[in-house]
Amino acid sequence: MLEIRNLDVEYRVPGGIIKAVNRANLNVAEGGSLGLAGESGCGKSTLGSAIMRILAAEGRISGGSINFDGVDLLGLSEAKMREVRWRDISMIFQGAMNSFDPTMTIENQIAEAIFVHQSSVGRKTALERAWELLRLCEISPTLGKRYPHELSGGMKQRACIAMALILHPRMVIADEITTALDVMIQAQIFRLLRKMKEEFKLAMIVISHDLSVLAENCDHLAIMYVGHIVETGRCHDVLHSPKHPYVKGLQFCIPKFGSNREVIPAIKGSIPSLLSPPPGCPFNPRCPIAIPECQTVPPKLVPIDTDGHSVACHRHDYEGVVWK
Amino acid sequence: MKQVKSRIAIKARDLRNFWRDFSANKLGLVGLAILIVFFFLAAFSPWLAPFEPTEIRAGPLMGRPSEVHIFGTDQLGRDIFSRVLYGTRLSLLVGLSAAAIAVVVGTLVGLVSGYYGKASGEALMRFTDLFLVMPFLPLVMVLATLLGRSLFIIMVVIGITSWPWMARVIRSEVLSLKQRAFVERARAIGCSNAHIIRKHILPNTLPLITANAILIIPVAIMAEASLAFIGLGDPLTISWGSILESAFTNNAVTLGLWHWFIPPGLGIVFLSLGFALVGHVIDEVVNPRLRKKGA
Repeated sequence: MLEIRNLDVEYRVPGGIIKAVNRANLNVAEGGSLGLAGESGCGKSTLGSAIMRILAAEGRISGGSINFDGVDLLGLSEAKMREVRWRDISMIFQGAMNSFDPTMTIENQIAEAIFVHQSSVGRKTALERAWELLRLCEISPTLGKRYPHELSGGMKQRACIAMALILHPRMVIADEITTALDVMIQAQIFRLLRKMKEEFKLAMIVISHDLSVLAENCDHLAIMYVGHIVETGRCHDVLHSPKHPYVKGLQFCIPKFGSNREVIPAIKGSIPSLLSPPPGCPFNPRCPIAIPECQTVPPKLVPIDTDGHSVACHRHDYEGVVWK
Repeated sequence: MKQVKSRIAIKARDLRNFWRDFSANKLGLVGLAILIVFFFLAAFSPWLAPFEPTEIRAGPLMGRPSEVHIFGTDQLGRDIFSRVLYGTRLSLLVGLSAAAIAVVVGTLVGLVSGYYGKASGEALMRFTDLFLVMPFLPLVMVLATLLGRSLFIIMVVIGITSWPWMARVIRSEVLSLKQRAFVERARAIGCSNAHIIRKHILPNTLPLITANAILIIPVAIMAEASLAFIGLGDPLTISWGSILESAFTNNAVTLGLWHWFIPPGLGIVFLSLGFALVGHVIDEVVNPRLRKKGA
């Protein structure tokens, strides 16, 4: 349903131009769910905003294509794109942060998409639909009259989900939706999200830096590193038989119960500056198995099996131990 | 209907909260009391004034204060007390309407230049700077002379010279607001820029607009008094500035006729003080950064 081909996104910053997303390729099937993981600043949220074409003023899509149901989103006029937003693809924001307007009641913000997209629908009907969704999201509709600051983080996150579904979109992008919430609430929110996915037959892109959250909630996974998608495939394949040394390294980041206080091995070094990325593979300065080719030739994302498991690494067939 | 009621209830609760914070500040209450007194005087001046303010030879020429004329009389024998009372009306009228003009223009320019950043915003801001660096009084003098000396022109002139400051304040707030997550949310929903400005940016700047609007009023009152004092006021109206002007040209100061120039002077001082106090306290209430610790 969603096909992203060779997408480039740039930001103009005081020191020059940085490539936040570099030749990204992604597919999301009808009703499928894709997890997008990576550390802060790797471009995963930028990729989400690029799909909606709501990049900040400094950002710009400099190449590639985004195809949604046969429509090239990058070719649409701004007015046409405004219609697509929320009606076809909506977003769940990090509700605990200030993604609600403090001067507007919750119900008005949930119904706002109806006011904007379907002006023929009366105010009363719009609000009734908002209450209906609040109820589905397990919030009492009476809370709709409240202002954002009167709700807890978990309630706001539920309201955010209600808001995303108000126009019955076919795809939802969930951007770090549980980042500021505790684990209990996190589990509740994702249970709700799965329920809604069933109910509305949604396709989803879940953006998170938490691999365990994605493993639980998605069927496909894409791992990003400084603007590049380095490995993608079915969740199980990527997590259980990773091929990229970076993804192999991430495996160790999840501490195991009962593992006698062992020191978690860290990937040495730090992410390179986006202003002057290393030539060749972006991971080569930190990679223990880099070969000279890695420093000159950027690896392409190539399929390694027939199930869509793809890796961007010159040494993806390396069988030895990468991290000690 | 039930829904409408609860919407009103929410607003009433906000107002109560606002009043609780406002009334906690003694200075704000003093300011409010001063304003109430002046509004009362302005509203009831025809009943409170013992004489018609324009009545010539209502008493002796340049008479000292007496039981009949408590502030004495001016060079034409008009009752100064009645003139000061009627002057309150004019000061309030000019202050409020000039501030209204400044608020509308300043808010529009601030919103547009803040939200659209880039070239158009920058151009608008340089235009604003142009107004900002022009010395206020000389500009007003030139404009008042060019355009005529009617009350309406004076209000417009003061209004269009007071907005740049307002525009800058609003613009800086909009610059920060448009980076907030809820504006991104609005864009993702598919809202147009006009919708975002009207429904999200404007309501969030409203407290700031209110506080600054009230702070512009005393500036406008002073400006009107200054104009009238240097003889550029509307000759057909009675204002505190024009009373001061006639006192000055008739040597009231050297003759020691304090009752002629002290009352209108105090009027200007206290009315301005009232607005300034209320404005500053509102600013403090709506702008948490200005709140004192523990308050």
